[in-house]
Amino acid sequence: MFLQYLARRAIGGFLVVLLATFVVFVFIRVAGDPAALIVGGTGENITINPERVAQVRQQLGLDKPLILQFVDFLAGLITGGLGNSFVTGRPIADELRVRLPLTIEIALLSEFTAWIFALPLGLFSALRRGRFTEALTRIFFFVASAVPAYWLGLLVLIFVLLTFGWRPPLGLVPPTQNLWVHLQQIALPILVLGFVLAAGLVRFIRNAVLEVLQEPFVQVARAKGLAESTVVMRHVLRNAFAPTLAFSGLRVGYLLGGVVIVETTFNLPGLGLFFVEAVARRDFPVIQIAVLILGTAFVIINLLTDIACSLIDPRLRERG
Amino acid sequence: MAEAVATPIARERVSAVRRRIPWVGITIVALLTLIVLTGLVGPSVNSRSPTATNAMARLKPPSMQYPFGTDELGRDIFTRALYGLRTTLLIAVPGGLLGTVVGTLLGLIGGYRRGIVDFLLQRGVELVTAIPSLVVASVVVAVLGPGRIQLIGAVALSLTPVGVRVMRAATLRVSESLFCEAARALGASHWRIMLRHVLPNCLGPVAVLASLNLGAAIFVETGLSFLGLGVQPPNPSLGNMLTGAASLYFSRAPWMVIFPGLIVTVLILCFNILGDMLADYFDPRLRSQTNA
Repeated sequence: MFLQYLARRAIGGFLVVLLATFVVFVFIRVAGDPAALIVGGTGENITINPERVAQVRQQLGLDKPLILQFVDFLAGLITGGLGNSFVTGRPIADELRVRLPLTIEIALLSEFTAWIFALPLGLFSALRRGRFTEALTRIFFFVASAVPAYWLGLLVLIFVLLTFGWRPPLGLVPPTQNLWVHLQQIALPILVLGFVLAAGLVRFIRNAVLEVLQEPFVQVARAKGLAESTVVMRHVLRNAFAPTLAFSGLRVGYLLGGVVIVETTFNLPGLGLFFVEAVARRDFPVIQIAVLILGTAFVIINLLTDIACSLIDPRLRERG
Repeated sequence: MAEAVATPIARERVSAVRRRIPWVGITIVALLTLIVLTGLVGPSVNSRSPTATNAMARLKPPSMQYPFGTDELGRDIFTRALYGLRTTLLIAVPGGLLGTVVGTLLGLIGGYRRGIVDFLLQRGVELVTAIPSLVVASVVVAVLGPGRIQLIGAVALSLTPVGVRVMRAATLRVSESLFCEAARALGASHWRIMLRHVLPNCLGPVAVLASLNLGAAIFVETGLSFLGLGVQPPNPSLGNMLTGAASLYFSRAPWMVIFPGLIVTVLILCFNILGDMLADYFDPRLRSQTNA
């Protein structure tokens, strides 16, 4: 029954992503003429040669009916041919092969860093409950959730440069080539994004732990003489963990948006920077693929957190 | 997807002292008013131009003459920040409010009518939520161009789903009430029940939502401009003052980065705290729904 539920969620999720891609696809073609943009650039007073526009339109297959274009696009996805960038003419698949691993790396490590920040702080403030810890989590929450990641990134760069005279090495080096240099390059973006993401997480963990502490089974655990550390580790944390995991699953959009920002701030050539450059140059095939990837990531991660939650908390499996 | 989360509610003891005089709230509102008035009035009071360059005063640190210093072209950063603040506010505030109004109305309709309308709305919300809000706004800008109206629309669209979700939940709760049933029994039309009975009873969530959305709108607008997709240079916006030259000169002229970002942070901070206090005032349970 749980498997059925997961399957339904998976199918529903992918339909939503497909629909999102379709909406973007149609929006691009209806609201503007990509071919005219390519020929004429983005200026307003440029006279556009209609023959050239027609030629480009035919080259890119934009003269076919919308539905056919979308079918072509989907067929391309399945066969792995993602098409070429309008601007550089290079295959998008080649770009993604280099860029996706970096983005996944930054996203995972940032989320991990956020948990490293948030778990001790949230747990501490829930267990040592009082005015001081409440103020502490409040201030942390408000500051970390108000600071824009791009500004914090620049501030950290300034701080590190002025106090230690150090700045991350330029020109990204892949980890296989020189792991040490690579780590230096991604350390700051990960710390910055991790800090920003920790904001909501600290508060959620604190509230989740406070909630669990009031459950009767915690009282039972204490009453049967378990050490407080065992009560916290085995009973409280375990039960607070599942909702927290689901919460961070729902915030994946926030994480991915943050990745786009830090990649731009620190000039890391991942999917985010690719997307931003594509929007600036109106490189529509790239925009479509990026939206598809980001949406798919959201769906997949939420499925995974669902599965993880049900493994941690068997009660969740009951629900159909 | 939201059903999967068992929302924990902190049963925090609210001390009697904190309830009496909301000093924090008064300070925040005063600060916000000050910033917004400065942004709206400042540019017309200040006689300097935000785009006038001065080769004699390049990269000058903050001083009496240039409170925030100057940039690589000798432009006064204080003046640029004033104009940038106005640009940001004139996009983020209408965008945030529009997103709140549209989200509220759609959530109201969805929660009240249920059925197919609700189903379609929910799928629409999922569609927009599956993609980061900054990316949603970027796509709009990519297609429609970076004009002010387009930016307002982009900001509003990226904020709508939160509104729908919050308002739908509130409507589901309220429309079960006896007074709604009574109104229906008296023969009130659906619109009348929705607007005269359900909506006024959801004003708490809407106020919280509006405040948090204004903070989020500033975040989206400055983020877009920072990415180079929003307000286009040489026109200053608090976001685009941090890109381009600022990211090259930040080691020699940190003030180019510090001041515009500080204003953004304080603005977002104020709206978030305000939203939080409103939530505390109306219903502490709202908090965990909206700050995701």
